[in-house]
Amino acid sequence: MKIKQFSLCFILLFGGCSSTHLVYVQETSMGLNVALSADGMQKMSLGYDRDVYAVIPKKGEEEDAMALFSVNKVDISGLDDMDVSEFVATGEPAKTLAKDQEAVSTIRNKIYGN
Amino acid sequence: MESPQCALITAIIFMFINSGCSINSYGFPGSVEEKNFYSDFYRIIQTKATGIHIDTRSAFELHIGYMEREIVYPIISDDKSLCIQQVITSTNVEPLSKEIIYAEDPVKISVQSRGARLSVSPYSIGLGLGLINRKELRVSSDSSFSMFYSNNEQSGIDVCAIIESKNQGEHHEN
Repeated sequence: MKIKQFSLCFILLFGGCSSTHLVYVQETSMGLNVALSADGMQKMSLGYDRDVYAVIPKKGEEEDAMALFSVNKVDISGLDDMDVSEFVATGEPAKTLAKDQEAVSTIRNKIYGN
Repeated sequence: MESPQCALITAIIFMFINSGCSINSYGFPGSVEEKNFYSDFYRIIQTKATGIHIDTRSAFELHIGYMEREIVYPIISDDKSLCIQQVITSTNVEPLSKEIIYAEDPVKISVQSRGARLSVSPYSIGLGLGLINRKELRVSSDSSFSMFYSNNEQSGIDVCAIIESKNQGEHHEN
């Protein structure tokens, strides 16, 4: 099963197909770092590099990719030290939150510690 | 086979064994340490490995050197507002079901790697040499999902992760 899954990964990656998942990445590297994502995004860095990026699933022209609500705070105090506070919602919970301004403020205060 | 070749192969195998090899949570003593945390609102697997480490759970990953990883699995529930309520009210909300079902697919993967790293997942291929600190969130585009995550040094890890029931996950009785 795993072999089939990974064969599929290679076919998807090199066939240029898009992902069905939202992938959100925060990455810090020191040295050599090479990456290739399912939607064809390529990256190569040598030395210090800090990246925040997302791979968003593709849909038709008139379709929304997805509903997403996110509040996050990242404290970086070194290459190894990353404090993360975040709230992420997709689909129905994201749509519900988008209509509730009070809930959004409460979540924002919780994340930022106000 | 000639003796110098035999000696070279033996030396390479000896180096591999001495450096410490591990696959997922199994390996030579001291080469891998794994902790599982189960809660009503999440499952977390924390792994520390030294030497050569292969992981096949969140993706296919090969590490040579030192690696720390944290994988967060959500619980499967039809109560989509559970995490929202927990964050808003800042109190522990009781889950509706006594039977907790953990999702099989992780939603958050944090990796700190020192050394060499090769990673192959359905979403990306990565190759690294040196120090890498990577935090990745993966969510299916058609899912209803909510997560609160905080790893503040002072207050510790606080997590709530819920995903709607689509596929069966791993069952766990409370």
